[in-house]
Amino acid sequence: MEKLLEIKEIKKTFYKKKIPFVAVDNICFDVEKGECFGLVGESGCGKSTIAKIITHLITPDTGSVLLNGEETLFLRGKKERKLYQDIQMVFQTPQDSFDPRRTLGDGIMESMRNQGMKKHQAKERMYELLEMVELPGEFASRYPHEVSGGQCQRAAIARALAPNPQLMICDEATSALDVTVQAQIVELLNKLREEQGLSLLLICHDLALVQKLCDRVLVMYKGGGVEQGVPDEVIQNPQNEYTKILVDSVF
Amino acid sequence: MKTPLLDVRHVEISYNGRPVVQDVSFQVEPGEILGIVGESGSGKSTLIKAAMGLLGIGGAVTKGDIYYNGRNVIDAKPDEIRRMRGPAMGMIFQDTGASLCPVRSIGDQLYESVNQHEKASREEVRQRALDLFEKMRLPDGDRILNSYPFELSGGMNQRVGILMAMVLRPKLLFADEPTSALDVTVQAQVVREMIQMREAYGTGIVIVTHNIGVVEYMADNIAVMYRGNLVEYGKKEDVIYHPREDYTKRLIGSVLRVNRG
Repeated sequence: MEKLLEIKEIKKTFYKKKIPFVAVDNICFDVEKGECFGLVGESGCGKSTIAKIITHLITPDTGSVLLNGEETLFLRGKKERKLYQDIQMVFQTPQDSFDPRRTLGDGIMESMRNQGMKKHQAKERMYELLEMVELPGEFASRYPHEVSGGQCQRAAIARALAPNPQLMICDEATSALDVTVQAQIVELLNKLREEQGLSLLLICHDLALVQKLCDRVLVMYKGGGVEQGVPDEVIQNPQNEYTKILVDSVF
Repeated sequence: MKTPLLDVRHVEISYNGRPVVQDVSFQVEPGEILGIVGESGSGKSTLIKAAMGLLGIGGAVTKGDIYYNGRNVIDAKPDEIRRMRGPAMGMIFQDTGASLCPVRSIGDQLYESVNQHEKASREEVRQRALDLFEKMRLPDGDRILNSYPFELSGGMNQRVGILMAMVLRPKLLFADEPTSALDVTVQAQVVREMIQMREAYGTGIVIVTHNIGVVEYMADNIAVMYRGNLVEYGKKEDVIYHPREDYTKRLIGSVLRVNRG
């Protein structure tokens, strides 16, 4: 399999009143094309920091992030903007990730318009995207507060798909949803992966979800990676002490 | 027949004249754990707010009655229900950190809530809190009591919430999504602590959650809410393993389970 994303020995330290706090410590993993890779661990273990490093929102102290074999950390200008298209994110609370004063359709079209796409083309593509995430076209004219959490998350996925990304990072994308809705979103993600060949990086704390959706998983604890492998093996035969506690904590 | 601890009879609850909960009935016996499950907006939290008299402006019980130990809480005067909140019916909120006063220490707030209901010296309250912390196997009770809410993690604040509810030893404890904001490892501890409280004091617990796993682990009975109606109510085993209603089947079927092999 071809490697899409390679994370090599990244480390990130934050300073609070000059006291260093190592948020991510020597993390290595890679995501293959069409793969779903899971990142699990408790709050504050550095999962989201990694997402921010990959999306170029913060710079790590050391290490490198390769996309399609190319170093991304020092990209500037045109290439950096291309990176911002290639990697897209879906967040935990969909309602908060849309502008409350603009319609979902506007939100989905924004990135395409910014790329210089003509308005009618963007509109056409927006309706295609809505269909892809199984939302009726009328949702384009709705505001975020007028739709349910699950519907809004679908719109957020449509928005993430708009720039034709190679990698989609889902940061706790289903955690705030009801279980019945969560099951539908999981189904949608699976479908997109099969039909569009999309690679997914799934950040979450739900081991059951990881087991259902992911090909491989990395368990993190206090900034470090403690165990990596196929979810079934990691869950059924955890090697690390923390992984054992994590697996035992699930009801 | 023995009077149940909590008896909810054909209750309809409306916000601004619009019914959001309709014809709901259930009972809770002393020492029983009832889990109320259902999706957001199904009226789960509204039910326990009604029992606590916390519906707020615009909310009212428009039909039916809610009895606590044979006493109708809907007819109770505000002053009477205020005295019941705490020693009789306790409540744990989803986000305790947000329901605490940010500029006063945990110990101060704990003393205030106990002092509203019984004559107790600061030292007594402190001792009782420390005992409870020990029961919850939380080290450093003293440090927690001297802390402010923002100095503690979400999990720690949530356990402070449980402690605040338990320090008055209520006969009935309402828990509104008590573990939803917590990491699974902390969630497991909190759930075990609540079960321990039931065993130590015979507390009846009503837990509202959308986490079927938690309910399956701790509840005796389960009530399933859907769009303001109670669609299924019965023994945990029956509801989870032999659901009768379509919605319950869909709900249970949507739960992802860890396959431990």
